Parts: sequence; structure tokens; C-alpha cells
Amino acid sequence: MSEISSPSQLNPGGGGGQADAPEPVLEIEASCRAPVLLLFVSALVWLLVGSVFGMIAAIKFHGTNFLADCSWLTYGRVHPAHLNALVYGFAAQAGLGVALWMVAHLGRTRLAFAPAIIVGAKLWNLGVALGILGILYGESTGYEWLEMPRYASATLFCGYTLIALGGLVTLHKRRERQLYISQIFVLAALFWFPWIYSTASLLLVVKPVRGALQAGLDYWYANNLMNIWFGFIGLAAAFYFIPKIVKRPLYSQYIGIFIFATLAFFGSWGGIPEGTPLPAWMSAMSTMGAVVMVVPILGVAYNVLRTLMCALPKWGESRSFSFFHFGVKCYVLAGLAGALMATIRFGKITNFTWFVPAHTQLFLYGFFAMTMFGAIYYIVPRLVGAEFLKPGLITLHLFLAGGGILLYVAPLAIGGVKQGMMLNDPTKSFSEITASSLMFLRISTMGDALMVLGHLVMFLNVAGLLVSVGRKCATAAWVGHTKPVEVTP
Amino acid sequence: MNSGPLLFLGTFFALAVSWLGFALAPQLQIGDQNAVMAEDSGQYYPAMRAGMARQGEQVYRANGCYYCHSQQVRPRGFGGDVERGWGGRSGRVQSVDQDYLYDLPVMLGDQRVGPDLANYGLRQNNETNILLHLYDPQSTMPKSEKSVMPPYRFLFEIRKLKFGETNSEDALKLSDKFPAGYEVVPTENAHALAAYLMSLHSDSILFEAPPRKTTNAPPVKTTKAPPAQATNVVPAAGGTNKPATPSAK
Amino acid sequence: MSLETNKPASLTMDDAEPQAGWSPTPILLIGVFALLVFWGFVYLENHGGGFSGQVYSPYVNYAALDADQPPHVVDPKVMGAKIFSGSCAACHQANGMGLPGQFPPLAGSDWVNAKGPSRIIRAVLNGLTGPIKVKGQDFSNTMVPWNAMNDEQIAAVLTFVRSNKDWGNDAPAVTPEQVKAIRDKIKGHDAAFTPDELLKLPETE
Repeated sequence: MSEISSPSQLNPGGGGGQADAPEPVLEIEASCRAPVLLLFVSALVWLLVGSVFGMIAAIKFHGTNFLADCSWLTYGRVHPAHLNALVYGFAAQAGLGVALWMVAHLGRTRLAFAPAIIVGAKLWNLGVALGILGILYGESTGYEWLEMPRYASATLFCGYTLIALGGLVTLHKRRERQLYISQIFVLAALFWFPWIYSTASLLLVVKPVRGALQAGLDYWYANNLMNIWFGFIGLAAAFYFIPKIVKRPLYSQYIGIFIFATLAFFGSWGGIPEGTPLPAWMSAMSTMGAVVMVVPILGVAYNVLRTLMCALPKWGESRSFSFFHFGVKCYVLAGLAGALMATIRFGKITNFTWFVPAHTQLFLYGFFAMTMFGAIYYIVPRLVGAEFLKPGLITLHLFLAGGGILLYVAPLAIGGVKQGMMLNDPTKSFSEITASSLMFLRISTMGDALMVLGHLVMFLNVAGLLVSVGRKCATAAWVGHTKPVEVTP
Repeated sequence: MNSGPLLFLGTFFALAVSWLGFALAPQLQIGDQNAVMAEDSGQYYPAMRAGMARQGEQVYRANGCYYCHSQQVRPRGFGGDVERGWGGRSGRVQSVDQDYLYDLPVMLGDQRVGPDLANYGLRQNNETNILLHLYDPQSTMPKSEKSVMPPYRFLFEIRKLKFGETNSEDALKLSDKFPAGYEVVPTENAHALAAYLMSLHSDSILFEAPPRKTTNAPPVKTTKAPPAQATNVVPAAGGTNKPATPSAK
Repeated sequence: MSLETNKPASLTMDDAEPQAGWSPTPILLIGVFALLVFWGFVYLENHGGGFSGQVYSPYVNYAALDADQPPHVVDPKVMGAKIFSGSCAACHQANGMGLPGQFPPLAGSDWVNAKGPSRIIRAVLNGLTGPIKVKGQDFSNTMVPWNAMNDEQIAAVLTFVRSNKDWGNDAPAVTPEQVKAIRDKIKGHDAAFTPDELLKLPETE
């Protein structure tokens, strides 16, 4: 068993001798309710929108004439629309919502600047909507992960500033001074995003740098967004909810800090694949960063394993937990795959193949999205004070999402390796390569379909809960404000 | 680590290292490259694209062609890009930063659902073929081969021919299955995209990308200090610019 | 809006925030970290191109890139023009017409346009002295030797002169090998040549 050496940790409400007593949990929930729910509902809507775009894009591989006559829905526009909706619409908002909720609870204080956060969330949604419409219209910037035209990205940035401000002030005003590892991750993430986003937007869209340096910056931004920003927030959630659900302490804060330091320092390097038309040192440094990143990944696995030792919840005891469990496993797998991809020996096979999106989706969806799903399923009932009406839908979603992502990633990964080996063999004609990929694409489209269904299930579940709670509130308010009529006999 | 400021400093330091190493340092090192006089062609390389080609670059960008097509020739030892016929320079030489100097945006692409296009202009200089391929990719390929490239019919205009009107000059010559009385005329965007595709070439000999010697042996690791000022000095490749004979492999 | 609900028991029991233990980072993990960082540095050494902005995969360093450059070939006409204006134009004039009575012209000269360059190579290497007839005119002067110039430079300037169409010259170029051959042949003969001596030699050798 791990040792708890600080007395302040024994009493969750103790506060370590600080002046301010912690806020009661109900107050904290009340302060979080509006902003976090807004972020979550927006995220789920964008998740649905993004998955529909993703399905359209996937179907086009099986019937190239599918919706081909509409320029707005050509693959080259609907694919980035899907990615941006998933990344900025769903993942970012879900992540921010979870981060804010965790920070308020860990600090035992209300969420600060809630109205500003709400405005920020609305701006963010406006930005994403403008961005997606811009991409579909044909005004994509041409840089992957940064396709949104500048009017959209500027709106996003403004919205983010407000949300992040709320989070930072909440952290600053915390009544529990002892920092838990999740707060460390969230604080770093809140600072990281504006820096990488502004750098990338300025140096690519506003005042573009010359030549392939643009690609270098694009890779750097994408790598930092994935590994650092999404990685930190996802890990913050995993390190928060897993101990909380199993009612055991996280194995070690020190390992957590070690993970944080190594990820921050090495995980933020480049992301530039070997063989890119950039000086050799840039891709070599990126490879070093990706390989050394194996260490924090192993650290995460170790920390979680030791936390769970002999305390794995029984199946069905906590539905949220299954999502986190799945997420952490995907994190480890994706990180190891990323390290392999960065080396020359494997990179020359996997570059330019389906393995790349398989790896991206394993991380983004298998790890981050699943972790967010688990967190949302945990947080929403506590925010509204009522349990889900049909808990079985959560299990259904788990199977649809988990099965979907496996069906999506595995064929693309295998197909990608096969594609890569054929690409490197000059005797294989390009049509042979295309033909070999088709079966894998078909299976992964089935996975796509399962995921879309899962998102629909989740949206209906959460919406159903919110609507029913809303109805109860409305009824209660109505009853409270209308006097019962005295019926005189 | 309980202190917010200390945590902020740690984060700042890690992020600063990443930013300095990958955003600032490359910019300082190669951010001010300009076109160089290539001795093998006597012209500046890379050439700025002419009007139609520049417009076509924006069509390429707007329609997200780079999600399926890459534009980079990989180095020796990284698969068979040149053996596949995608290279431009003699001697199995890869793409370098200089090749993308005047691209805006630089669309390297990271997927090869379709073939690499870095030297497409050297392989295909017939605009009609390109337009036919854009209109209906499957029609330009043998029946047994499948293409997953979507048709870009919205880049073309289907015009109804008035009574007695003959096909305009521009109209695509499609198969007989196409209904009579109509013609397919490429729009300006289609012509621009075709012009852009024909302008794609990365074939000049550069200092960073010298023609490979015929030996397959990796370059000898010698310890000679580079000159104090690394300039884009292009050697006069004059009469020795023979295409290297591909090794028997 | 206050929620007057009976919070289900499961929602109230989990109010404790997660705690963290303080076990130290396992030595094995730190060991793996050190190992991978070491691997990283070795990898950088082998594939980092020496952090040069011009070295691309798969060259390992600048020296290797430099060694692979194609041999430096000079355009002789460009070099020759420079040498001519710096060394020869003082006497033979920039337009190659020389000065009547003093310096013989090179433009349209039969000496220059001879089939082989062996006579004029000797003239440039060791100098020329004595009466000479060029294009029907007589000259009697001394040309200084230019053997301080290397083979490449002499070949370049002679090529420039011989192929200068503006001057009416259209003779084959001169290679550094030809200059070297003559230089070796006349080793030991330090004195300037006379035109008569040169005329006794065959045009080509």
C-alpha cells in the first residue's frame, strides 16, 4: 500500500491549515453547472456533427461518386471539417469542461469567472462553426490541424482566453493549497495552448515562414496539441477519476511529476517524421523526443497499475471506469506506436500510409475521447443532481465506441503497414496498392459507423437526462410560484 | 510542487525549449533562403509560379488535394520513390527545403492514397489528360485498375448546346456514353489547377541535393569543418551532370 | 434554480477528492529514461546531420555532403574574359585589335586561329620576342611570359580568345591538358620563343 505522509491528505476537507475553509461541494457544483454543461453539450453536438462528416468522408472511398458533385462535400473539404469538428469542437471543449470541473473540485473552491467562461464557450463555438463553414466553402488555410480560416481562429483564440482565465483564477484561488498532479497537468495545458496556437497561426497564416519550414511548424503544432495539450488533460482526468472511482489513492505523486516533466520536455519536440524535406537535425530531434516519450508512457502505465492493484472494480460497478481503463490502455499503445513510427526503420514503412491516421485516432479517440466520455458520464449526474435514466445506454455506448475504435484502428494499422511495404517496392504498381487497401478501408468504415452510433447513444442519453432534469426544475419552479387554489366547498 | 509560480516557470521553461528549438532555431538557420541560380539550367530555382499556376495552387489548397497526395520525394534509403518514377533530379535525390520556397501554402501532404505529385509536371504536360482525369479519374485508367480519387465534376460546366451549335474549343472529349447535345467545359479553376499540376517539378541540382554518385555506399563520414558562412553556393554542374545510372537492385 | 432532489446515495458518497501517495519514482524507470536519452544522443550523432541547415537525410554531416558534390567545372569563357581584361588587354587592347606598329591584333589573326594551339601556348608560357607578321602587318616587340598562370587559367584565356566570335575568331577551345603537355615539353627552355622558331613547329602536336 502506498504511504500517505502528509496529514493534510488524511482529511479531504482539512485544507492543510490554510485560512479559508473549503467550499461545500454543493456550492462548487452549482458554480460549475452552467459553464461545464454548456461546454459538454456543445462538445457532444460537435461530436455528432464531426462523426457525420467522418462517415461521409469514409463512404467516399467505397463509392467515389457519393456526393461528389457538391463542391462543399468533396473529400478534401469534408475530411478536414470532420477533423476540426472532432478536435476543436468536441475534444477541446470536453477537455476544457473536465479540466475546469477538476480544478474547481481539487481546489475546493467555486469555479471563478463563470459568466466569462460561458461567453468564452459561446465564442469558441462560434469560432468552430465559422471555421467549419469556411473549410467547406473552400477557405481552408492548407495547413493540417490549422485549416480554419483566420477569422475563425481569431474567434477561437478569444474564446479560449476567457475560458483559460477562469481556470487559472480558480487555480489561483484554491483553498486546498496542496497541488494534486491533475492540477499540475491542467495548469500547464492551459498555458500551452495559446502559445502553440498563436505561434502556429502567426507564422503560418498571418506571416508565413518560407519553404518547408511551414511544414515543420505544422508538425510541431500538431505534435504539441496532441501529446501535450490533449495528453495532459487526458492524463489529468485519468489520474483524477481512476483513484476517485476505485477509492484508493493514486500510487505516487512523484511518478506523476516525473511523467509531467519528461512529457513536457521531450514530448514537445517537433513531431517531424524522418525523410521530411527539412534539415536532418529537425527530424532526428523529433525522433529522439518521441522515443524518450516512451518513459512517461511507461510511467503512466505503472502509476495506474499500482493504483489499481487488487482493486479493479467489478464489471458494471462503475461504468465510467471502463472508459478510463480503455483510455489508458490506448494511451500506452498509441505512445509506443508513435515511438516506433518516429524511427527510420519503421517510419519508412509507415510514413504516408493509413498507419498515420490509425495512430492519430488511437490517441485522439481511443485515449482522449474515451477518457472524456468517462469523465462526462461521471460529472454530469453530479452537476444536475440526478442519475442517468437509462444507465444501460452507457454500457451500450462503451461497446459501440470501444468496438468501433478497435474496428477502425486495427485494419488501418495493418493495412497501412502492408501499404507501406508495397509503396517501398517499386515493382508494385500504384493500383495494386490501392486494391490491397480496400478491404481494410471497408472494415474501418464499419468501425466508423459503430462510433457514430455510439455518439448518438451518448448524446440521447445526456440530452435525455438534461431534459428530464430541466422538466423537474420547471415543474418545481412552477409549483413554487403558483399558489394552490383554495377550493371552497 | 505546490507553488503556482514555480509550476508556471517549469512549464514555461519546457515550452520555451521546444519553441526555441523547433520554431525559432529553424527560422534563424534557414528562414531567409532565396532562389539560387542553378548552373544546370542557368535559371533561378525555384521559379515563381505564373498567374494561372498560382491560382491553381489555391484551388489545390481549397479542395484539400494534399489529404491524399504528397509532394515530397523521400531520401535514399527511404523506400523507392525515385525508382517508382516520382523523382525529378538525376541520381535519386530527395526533396529539400529549397524546393518549396515559393509555395504558399506548402502542402507536403502526409498520405499517399494517391501518387506523389512533387514532379508531376515532369511526367504529365498534357492539359487535356489532366482535365479528363479531374473530371472522371476512373475513366483515364485501365478497366482493371481501381481509382479511389473522387471526380471533380464541379470544376467543370455542363453546357447544353443550342441548336446547331458546335462544341467549344475547350470542351472535353468524353466517351460516346455522354449524352449528345451537351458539352463539358472546364471552368477557370479547372484550367488553373491543371496549370498548377503541370508546374510541379523539383528537379534542379542543388548543394543540399547533389546528384548521387553511382555507388550505393553511404557517404563517407569525414571530419571537415563546414565553411564559416553556409551559403547557397551552387557548384557549376556543367558537363558532368550526367544522369546517374540506377544501380541494379 | 435550486435542485430540490433526493440525491441518490451514490452521488453523495464520492465527495472525497482523490489523494496521492508519495512513493518514489522507481529506479528502473529512471534507468530506462537514462538509457533512452543516451540512445537519443547516439541517434542524433548518427542522423542529426551535425545540426547543419544544409545537411538532409541521409547525409551524416556536412563533410559527407561536401564530398558528394559534383566536381567543380569552370566556364572557361567567363574566366578567360576576366583574365584577358586583367592581363592581356593592356597590350592587345580590350577589343583585341592591338596597336598598329606596337602590339599585334588577336582579332581575326591567323596565329590565333591556327588549327592547333601549340604555338600560342608556347608564346603565352615563355613569351615572344622578335619580328612577327600578323594579318599582313609587321610587329617587332617582346611579349612577357605568363607561365605564372596555371594550366586552367591559360586554357581559359586562350579559349576565350580563340572562340570569340565578336572578334571574328572561330577556333576550337584549348584544354588545360593541352597546356600542361606543352609546359612539360618545353621544360628547361626558359628563354622567350621567336616567331621563326614557332613557325618551324607543326600547327598541331
